[in-house]
Amino acid sequence: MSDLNQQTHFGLVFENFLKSIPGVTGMIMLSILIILSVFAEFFSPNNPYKNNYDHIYIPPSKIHFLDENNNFSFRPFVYKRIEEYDLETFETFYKEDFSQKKNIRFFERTWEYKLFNLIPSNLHLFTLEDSSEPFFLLGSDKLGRDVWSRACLSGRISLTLSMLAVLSSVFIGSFVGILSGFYGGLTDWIIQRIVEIFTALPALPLWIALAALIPPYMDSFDVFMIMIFIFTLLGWTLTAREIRGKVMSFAKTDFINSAKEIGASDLRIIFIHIYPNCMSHIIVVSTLTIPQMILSEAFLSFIGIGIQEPMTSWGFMMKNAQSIETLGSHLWILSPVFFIIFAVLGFNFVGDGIRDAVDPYTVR
Amino acid sequence: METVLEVTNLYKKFPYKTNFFGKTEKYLNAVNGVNFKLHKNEILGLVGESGCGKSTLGKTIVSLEKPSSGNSTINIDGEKIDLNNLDGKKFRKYKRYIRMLFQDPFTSLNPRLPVKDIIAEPLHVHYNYNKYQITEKVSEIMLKVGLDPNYMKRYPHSFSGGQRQRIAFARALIMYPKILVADEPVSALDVSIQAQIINLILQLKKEFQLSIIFISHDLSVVDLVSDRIAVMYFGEIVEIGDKKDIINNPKHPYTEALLSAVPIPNNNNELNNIKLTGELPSPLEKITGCVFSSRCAYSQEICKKKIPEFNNNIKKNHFYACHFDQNLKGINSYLEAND
Repeated sequence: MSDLNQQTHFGLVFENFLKSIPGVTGMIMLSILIILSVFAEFFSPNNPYKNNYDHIYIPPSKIHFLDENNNFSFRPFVYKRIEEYDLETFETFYKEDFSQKKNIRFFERTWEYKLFNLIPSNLHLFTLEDSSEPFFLLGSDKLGRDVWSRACLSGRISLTLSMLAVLSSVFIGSFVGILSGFYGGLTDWIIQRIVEIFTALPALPLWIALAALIPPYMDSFDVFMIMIFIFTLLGWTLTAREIRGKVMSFAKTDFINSAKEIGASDLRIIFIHIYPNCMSHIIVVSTLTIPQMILSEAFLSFIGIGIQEPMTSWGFMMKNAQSIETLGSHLWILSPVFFIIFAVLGFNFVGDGIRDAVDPYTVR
Repeated sequence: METVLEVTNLYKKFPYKTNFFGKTEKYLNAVNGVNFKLHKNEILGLVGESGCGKSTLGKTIVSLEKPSSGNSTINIDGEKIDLNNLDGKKFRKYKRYIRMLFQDPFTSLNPRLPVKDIIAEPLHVHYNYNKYQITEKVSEIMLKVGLDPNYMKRYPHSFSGGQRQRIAFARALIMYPKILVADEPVSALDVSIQAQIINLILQLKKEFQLSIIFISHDLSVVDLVSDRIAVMYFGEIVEIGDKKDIINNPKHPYTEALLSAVPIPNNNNELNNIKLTGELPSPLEKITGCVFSSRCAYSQEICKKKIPEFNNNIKKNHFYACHFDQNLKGINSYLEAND
């Protein structure tokens, strides 16, 4: 009992969060995505960077547990593909050769990579026993690269970009918002006009203009940093406004008054009293902003002004899906969409869960 | 009797309407020329209806709000100090002598801090104690206000309203102040808890040699705790005097109306309290006559024209602001009617 009473605010919030079903679901979804992208190479049967012109636009491999005689095997397998042409349209299509089974093997050592760019390794979760046979879980793209492997890899960029952008906009936004809400008066007036100017900036033309300024030979890491900068530039205003409102409502409460009454300094009031009380709100706002960032990043990369080779993101992977031909014949190129949906839903669920949990003192 | 706090001609105006150039055109008058003295070791009850400026007066006295004009000085060892003219180190040095207690213990304690940090915050701001000294001081004061020091690491949410108000007391008293301004310290609590806290106040007053300004809208609570009572109406003190005089021999019609509204248990008679009619004057306008004239039953021509003097005084400790010297109904008449 005394243990419960000594719990910190965040302890209570976390306990409440674990009770919310969407929150926990979202947490699981995000953990899956994060693990997939951090250990992308481990989950990739094929090297995501390697072009393979023999295997262009290969549809997703079908994984079987039952063979043609309905015999069940615990080890999943694929059948050998046979390439055939439609003699009228010259379209390639694939058939399965039921006489040749290719088993999937787990924890195999095949192509080499460096884990976290540091530890050399060649361990992979699953590969096909016959390496000459193309094995693409989500098909291959126009350069013959494995879509599944690349999607796992893309998660790194898409997630870090959006999280870093949110982190930096929350940093700037909370600083400005606290300044504006705490001091009020003229400071508030000036800051709010600046915020209004920034919110009035037309986002899309600005993005395109800034993207046009980026020279085409620029390092892809620099492009990544510039994108974070642009998202921060356009994103901090929302956080600033939210936090200003929260601070203003706190500034009138008695515990701030009683801190002022004993002669506490502004810094003390801000960092001991206001900031910790705004923290849960800031977390909610940021988890709910990350999906927006993911979507904007995907959008920019999709129209070709975002992430560049050799980096890859979910939106960038779908760039190829802009043509009718792709949509008609190689629909699997669009599969990163499911990763985006998965991530956006995950963050929204977690955000909802935290929002319900941040006020642990009200009994529901 | 030694005076510890003296308030002279205190005004507090809030900007209400500003024109295009940012210059204030209209002010809201919250406190209008208040004068009183607080003696050593006494509890002065400050009563009045909601919005009459009681809390603003309290906040101005502890220098949480700057007065528009006039001043309130505290007497420390014969030295008169106006907190509003000080800042920085000097302000902090003298702020230790006068502290405020807030109304609602559910909003006056930061929910993110453990009780120890809440109580010790004045020490963190004013002194440079190490953590052992702080723990020692906190447990000492917790014992004095009737809290178990073992609960030091708990957060406010695990305490009840009465316990929270005790925490607030501990926080207010940890620097051993001379004067305490208690802004409605019991009105947010249950009646049974109110009694506990009132007893605590009386006990702490003795123990800490405190002089207390007890702000409340509840005359029966003020009657219990205070030695003197000041009745406030519309930003002004309309009557001030010893408790007995105010309760039994009110001289101001507003005090009479307040007393008639005090609920009396087991009252079989029909309520015969005085019903105030008429409007409150606007706090934005300057008032020409007596502030209470618009609602007063005894109002006459002179009341609307001339501001009554405050120095009307029957005994040397009883002041009231009324043109007439009448004997009005005190609380006794209602109690007798009940018998």
